[in-house]
Amino acid sequence: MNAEKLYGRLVTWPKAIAPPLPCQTLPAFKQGVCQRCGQKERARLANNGFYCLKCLNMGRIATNDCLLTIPEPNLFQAKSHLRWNGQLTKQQEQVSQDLMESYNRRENRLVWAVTGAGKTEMLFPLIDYALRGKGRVAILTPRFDVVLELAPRLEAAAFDCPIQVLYGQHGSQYQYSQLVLATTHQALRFYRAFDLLIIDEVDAFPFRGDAALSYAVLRAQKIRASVVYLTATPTADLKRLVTQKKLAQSYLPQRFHQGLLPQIQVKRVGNWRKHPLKKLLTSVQLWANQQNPFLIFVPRVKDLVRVFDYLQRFQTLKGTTVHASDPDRAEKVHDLRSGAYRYLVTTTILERGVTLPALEVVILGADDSVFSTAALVQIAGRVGRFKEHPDGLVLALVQEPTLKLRAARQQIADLNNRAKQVAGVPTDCLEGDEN
Amino acid sequence: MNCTLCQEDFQSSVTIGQLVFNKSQAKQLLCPECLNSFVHLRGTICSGCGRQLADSIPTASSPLICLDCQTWQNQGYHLLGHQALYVYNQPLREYMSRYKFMGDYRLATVFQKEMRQMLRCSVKDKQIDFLIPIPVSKERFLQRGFNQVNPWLLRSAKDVLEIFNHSKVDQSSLDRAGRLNTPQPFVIAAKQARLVAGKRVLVVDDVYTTGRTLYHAADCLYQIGARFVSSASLAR
Repeated sequence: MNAEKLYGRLVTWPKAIAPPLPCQTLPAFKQGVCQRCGQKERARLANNGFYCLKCLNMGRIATNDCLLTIPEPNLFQAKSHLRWNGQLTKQQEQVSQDLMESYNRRENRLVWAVTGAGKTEMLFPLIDYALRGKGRVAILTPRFDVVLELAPRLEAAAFDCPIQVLYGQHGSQYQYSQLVLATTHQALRFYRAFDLLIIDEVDAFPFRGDAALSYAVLRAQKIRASVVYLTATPTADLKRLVTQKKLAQSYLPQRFHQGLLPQIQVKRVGNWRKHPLKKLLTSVQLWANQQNPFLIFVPRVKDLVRVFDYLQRFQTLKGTTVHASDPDRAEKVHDLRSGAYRYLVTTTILERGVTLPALEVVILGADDSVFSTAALVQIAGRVGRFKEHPDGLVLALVQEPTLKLRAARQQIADLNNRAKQVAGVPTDCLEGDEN
Repeated sequence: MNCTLCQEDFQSSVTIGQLVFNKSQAKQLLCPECLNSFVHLRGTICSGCGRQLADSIPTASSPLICLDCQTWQNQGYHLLGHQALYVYNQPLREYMSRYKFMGDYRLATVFQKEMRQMLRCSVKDKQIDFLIPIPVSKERFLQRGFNQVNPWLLRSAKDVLEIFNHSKVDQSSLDRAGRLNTPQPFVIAAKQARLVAGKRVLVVDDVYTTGRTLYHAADCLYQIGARFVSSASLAR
């Protein structure tokens, strides 16, 4: 093993075997608490030991193991790796400035930017600033789809340094690199490594409400580090931290093309699981005569086939179904992008990270409990993300309108109002920025 | 409750009886779909290794023996009369990899009841004196924290076999030819030899693939005077 591979890492190692090289060893458990994920959910072994159930999927950590690490030495060259030379809008520029100031003070910041505001581009100056200062940077996101989508964008368009992309069981290919793009689960394998941590889609499952992942993210950052939380739909917890002035916030209510968010149109239908849907079919009929791709969201995996069967009557339209445990998920989205498919019938799994020109969506059964307010706002945010097509249809078909649906509509309306107000005005609302 | 194998959410059914009398069994680990994906060995079965034979073979009056077992016989081995519960299919492979290699010891309970039942039957039918588990090496035991076979054993089990230092290569890392050529990995544990002399024993492993491991174990045991050696495993 190379010493480089242990810089700022946390690697499990059996106690019985001597470490492969001089390094720091940490205990695997302290008073029964797993030192990798900070949780106390255990199962017994036959030899009177126990192992952690919470982070079992990252490789078992048991009482007969210990953890190896070497403190992060930041052995990087202080030079710019930015290749991107696009132009930020005035508001993006402002947020980008705020982020750099926070980074200088090693403070955390929430960036609340509407879907399609150009969050990623906004980060480039900040990341480059950190890299130039020899800082180690990680971009983490809960969803591996988002990692897969971001990776080529960062590698091809933005940075010319090697980027370590980590997700799933790819730990073995780990190489020491200054810039890391990974799922939040991968934070479990880092120890005080990063000067700058960016968490994209911080409100998404599985990061939201997962104590182990929050612990891991805290532990993956250096003692003095800056964390940037990015989201279009902050959770109540994050909003509370902002109002308590414990977290600075930058606010970006306007899309980069200055267009407004498309509002969700609600239509009542009967029991759509029982009767074939006239309203759905009329919209699809409309799309059939046009060229734009569309997504149909359904609440449950078992609804996929039923809805897909309805759509078989449109013989000219090619489409397929997608769900979370679908192995070809990434490929199907790619096929939709390339035009091989016209539509996908999907569960909430595609609520984030899908960016297609002229996309339109139908949310079938939007009153189902799986569609949270955040999910609905995210789904609506799939639409109108391009300058050429700043608008589009977001149709929610429900049996009964729910409070969540109303809250989502309200949130979109609020964001649009603010966008109208601040058009052309610097958008930092400076809440909690006084200290 | 999430299934330990497929991570899918499922409703675990717990009866009041389970809650009151047997707390450890009350927690279901696998979802019904995963449990149903394991396939029982049924139909015509090779009396040498317990594998399923193609139905086309007519039932002869003499016990049916597959080609592999005939090879063992020709090499001068006594057939083990192996018995197994399940077909070693993809879901069971995944189960074994989580249980054994990832080391999720809770999964031992999934087949515990069935395995014990089968072993009890074998002990009765073959007039077995005691069971012998296939051991894991000391290093492996320290790392893994358990022997994957032990939770399935009956009380009469005795740790007669031991791994000869470092010699057991991980069988699952080899192909068929490699497996068949592995040298004898077992030795008899200190002071255990006299226990076996003249006894009828049953060797228990997790998976029977080529039979090499079990025939090595049987070899070892016959050498110290075992009267009869048979074997059983979870999967074949």
